[in-house]
Amino acid sequence: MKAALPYIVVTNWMALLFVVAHYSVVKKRLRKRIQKHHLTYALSLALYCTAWTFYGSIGNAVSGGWTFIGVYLGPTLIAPFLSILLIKMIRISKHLRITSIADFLSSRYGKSSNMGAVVALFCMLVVIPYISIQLKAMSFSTQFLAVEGINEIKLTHQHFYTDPAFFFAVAFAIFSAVFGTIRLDPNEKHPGLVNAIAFESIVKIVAFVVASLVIIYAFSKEDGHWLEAMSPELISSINNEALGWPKWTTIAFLSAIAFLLLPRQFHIAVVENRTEEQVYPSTWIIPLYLFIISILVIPIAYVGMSVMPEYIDADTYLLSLPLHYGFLFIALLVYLGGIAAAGGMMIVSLLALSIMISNNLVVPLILNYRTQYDYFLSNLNQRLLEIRRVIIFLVALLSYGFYQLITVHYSLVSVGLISFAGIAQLAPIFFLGLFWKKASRKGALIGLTAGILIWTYMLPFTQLVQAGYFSSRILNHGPWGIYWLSPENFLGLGVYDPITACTIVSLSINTLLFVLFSLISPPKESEISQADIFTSPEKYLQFRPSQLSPVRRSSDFSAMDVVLKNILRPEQVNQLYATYFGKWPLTETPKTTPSDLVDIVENHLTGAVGAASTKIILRYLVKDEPIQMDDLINMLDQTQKVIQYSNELQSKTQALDASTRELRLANQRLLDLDILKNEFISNVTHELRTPLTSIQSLSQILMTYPVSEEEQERFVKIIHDEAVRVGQLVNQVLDYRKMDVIEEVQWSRWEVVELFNEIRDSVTALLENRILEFKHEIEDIRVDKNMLKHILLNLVSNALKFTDARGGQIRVVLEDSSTHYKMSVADNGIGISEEALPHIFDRFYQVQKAQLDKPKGSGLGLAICKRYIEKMDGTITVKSRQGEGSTFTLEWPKENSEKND
Amino acid sequence: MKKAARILLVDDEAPILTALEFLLTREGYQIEKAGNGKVALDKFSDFDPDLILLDVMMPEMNGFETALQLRQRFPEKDCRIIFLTAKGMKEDRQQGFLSGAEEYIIKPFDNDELLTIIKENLAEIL
Repeated sequence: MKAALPYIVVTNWMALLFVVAHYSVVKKRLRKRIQKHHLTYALSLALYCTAWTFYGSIGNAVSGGWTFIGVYLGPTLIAPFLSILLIKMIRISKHLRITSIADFLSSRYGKSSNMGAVVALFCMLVVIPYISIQLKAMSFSTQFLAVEGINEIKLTHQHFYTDPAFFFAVAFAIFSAVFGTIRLDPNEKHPGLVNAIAFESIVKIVAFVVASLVIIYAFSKEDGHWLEAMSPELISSINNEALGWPKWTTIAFLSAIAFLLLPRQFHIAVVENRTEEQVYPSTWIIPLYLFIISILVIPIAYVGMSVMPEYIDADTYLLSLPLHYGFLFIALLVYLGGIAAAGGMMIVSLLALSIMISNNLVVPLILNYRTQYDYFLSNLNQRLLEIRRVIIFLVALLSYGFYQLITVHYSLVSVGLISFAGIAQLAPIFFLGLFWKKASRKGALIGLTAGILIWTYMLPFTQLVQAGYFSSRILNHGPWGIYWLSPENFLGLGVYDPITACTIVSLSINTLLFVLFSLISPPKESEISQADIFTSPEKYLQFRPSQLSPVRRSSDFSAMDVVLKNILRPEQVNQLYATYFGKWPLTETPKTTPSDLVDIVENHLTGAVGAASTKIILRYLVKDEPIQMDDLINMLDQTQKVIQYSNELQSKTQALDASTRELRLANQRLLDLDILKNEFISNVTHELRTPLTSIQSLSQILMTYPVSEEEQERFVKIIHDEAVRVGQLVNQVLDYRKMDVIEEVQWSRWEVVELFNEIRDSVTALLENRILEFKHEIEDIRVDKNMLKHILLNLVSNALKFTDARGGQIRVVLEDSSTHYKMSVADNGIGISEEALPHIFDRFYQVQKAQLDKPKGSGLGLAICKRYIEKMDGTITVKSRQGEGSTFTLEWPKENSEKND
Repeated sequence: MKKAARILLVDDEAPILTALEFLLTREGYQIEKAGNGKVALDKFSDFDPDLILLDVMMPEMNGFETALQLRQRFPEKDCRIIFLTAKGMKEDRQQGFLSGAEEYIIKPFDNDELLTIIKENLAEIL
């Protein structure tokens, strides 16, 4: 009876899991509530805790002391940053419909299919051993419960049909295939599966906590010292010799990376994410979840070491201790928790691997044989699902094979850590890729490849040697007798444990080569735009990737229709057409697909088969333009630039509109004025039309002609400068006009310091490296403050315009004479020519400038100054020599003249 | 292959010259630039343009004066003169035609319209 017990339990468990998953798929309202619940997301992220943490941590604590805590510490330490990092990853992925980490990296580095293939293949190599340890844990725990004596457990040399591991491999593959490939969802969202994972996370922690408490309770009752289970002696009883900070920090570091980058974690965290809000609660739920498990590990380890005989593997304490104390039910609960931990990991890993292998390896491979297009596209949906199912079973069986050949010989933790160190090879290209725009595909491929090779050599290869597959000479003496090349002592790092040594060497060389080759061979045009989306996604979120595309693509409508109907449900396709065409069906079905509809199809297709495969499919479908892959990317790149540039234009147009409105107003008033006659209007319109001419012509050029990047920049700069010039003119026209309606000068006394400070504040932003000095002999003056301020601002701005940004000097000096104030503004700029000097106070007179490229002023500034100072019964004079600077001097009376009394 | 038509651009506004240069070069014309009327007169015989785009308000020598001088100095030369100016009063227009120009276009201009006018004028002489 007892022998059958675990089998009965596990069968029921699998059935329950199917029910949970199925129920949450079928019951829509329930599903929506669970999906939306933030706890669901956070709990499904606890998928991180596998059988390795469930059973293995206790074994690890017994043999390695505090190192076990690193596995919990890593994710805890990055949890606070999830709200920034993870949300950035989610935004990018949603925008580009990314469905796996291989897809993510291939998209980041110029939609490179090589990158996608390398990452997918590597992930498979890393994850298969990881899955195999889950099989080991499940198989071992099953037999542990089923057989009487621990000695009778034999994991090896079994026929596969009597091996529980085989049963689990097949069972979870079925589950993954059923709920992961029900139908093709372009967004790869699998509600049933996620809910089942969240449910498993609850079972996991409940089992762990209940079992721990029961064990501690039973131990204290028997031995009579309940508190000791939590005392300092307990902590010191743990093997502290193994505690070395390099290993401990390395594990924490690797765990943090693995938490985000392991294919299953990426899948749950990014691909299955519903809303960004879900991320925030997980920043504290995850650390809490890990904390609860980690504080219980030490007491159980202590109890196990105290009461269990030495030949019992510490990995089994969680299971053997309840049995030791006679709690069969608790042991079964623990058993279930272990199955939940291992099963959840398997299900999601299989699904994530199947998506990335099919999209990044198999489909591009199939599509490279042109003959396969028709067959493949004729029933894309079905083909893709078939491929995925095959991959799921293949990976499950490979994992079983790996388990039988290798894993049985090793502890759960050692294999798990090798996988962690492996997946960390993706970290440099992943994280630098998110923030460093210049990271190039070539650099990434070289760095990653080097990292993978070193990792393979230092860890899996060493394991194979130790398992006896190769001669151990290489370990002891190194290849060709060079000891520092030995995998165990690579570059002389043998003083560290293998995981730490490998992490240091592989990641340093990986990062170094990646950065080096990115600098040597910077990203091509085609990569830059993709890179830009990843480094600053905010810019692109409101646009569809190819919205404003200058590329005109069209294709046979019926061919597109076939593709669409393969990836979407019929009603979705109709809905899409209805939205696009305004109504559907149309009286006449179009023969060709318009360019922007192709874009929409592309977007959906990318979600289904990934960026790399989509490119190949479209190349086939968009027949009438046999676009080379690189051309296509180039054109798409331009799109991004057009978006940026059109934003600039838009804001400038708005500024121009505003100016025009002001101008219209000003014109209306001008017409009312007698003094400003035809000549003035003619001049104003001439001065307005001149900058408007360049603005209109250049913006029209930018809209109609393909232009190089340099030209584009130059033109936009001219447009901007000329727009500013229009704005200035409008302001000055208004000022000029205002002067005529001022009836009286507003005399009052003002502190000179205050006035100077205001001037300084207004021009500080324009100063650059020029020196601006103020000097005054008296403290307060009688003046119309607004007028004087206007004049000074005008003179100082002119001085700024005509002096060098470096070494330019401007002095404003106020002097006192018996009857008059005398204020001068002097600069060391380019000066004014003799011919120009007599005219500079005339309206619309403009001094020819050395650099013709710069926009001119309006020609009104000094005329306004002159009129203002004359209102104040004063004068303005100028002294200047070309090349030696200019001095403008204002003089106005101290006392009221008679006419102002 | 037909030889590209030559066009002399005369304007003191660098941004406008930039736009015209790009536009006309794209359309396959051969281009020479001058910053005022005097420079234009100096370059005229060497470059031997088929058409001149002429601004009016320029330092040294304005466009009206320039056109008059061109017609006086090179009476044999069949060269089209098109004023391209921001001066839009009726009197200005009249003065423009009096000084010997074929067309009078007021800034700002539409690129396509400008190109059409240029093409039509060139078609009459080439």
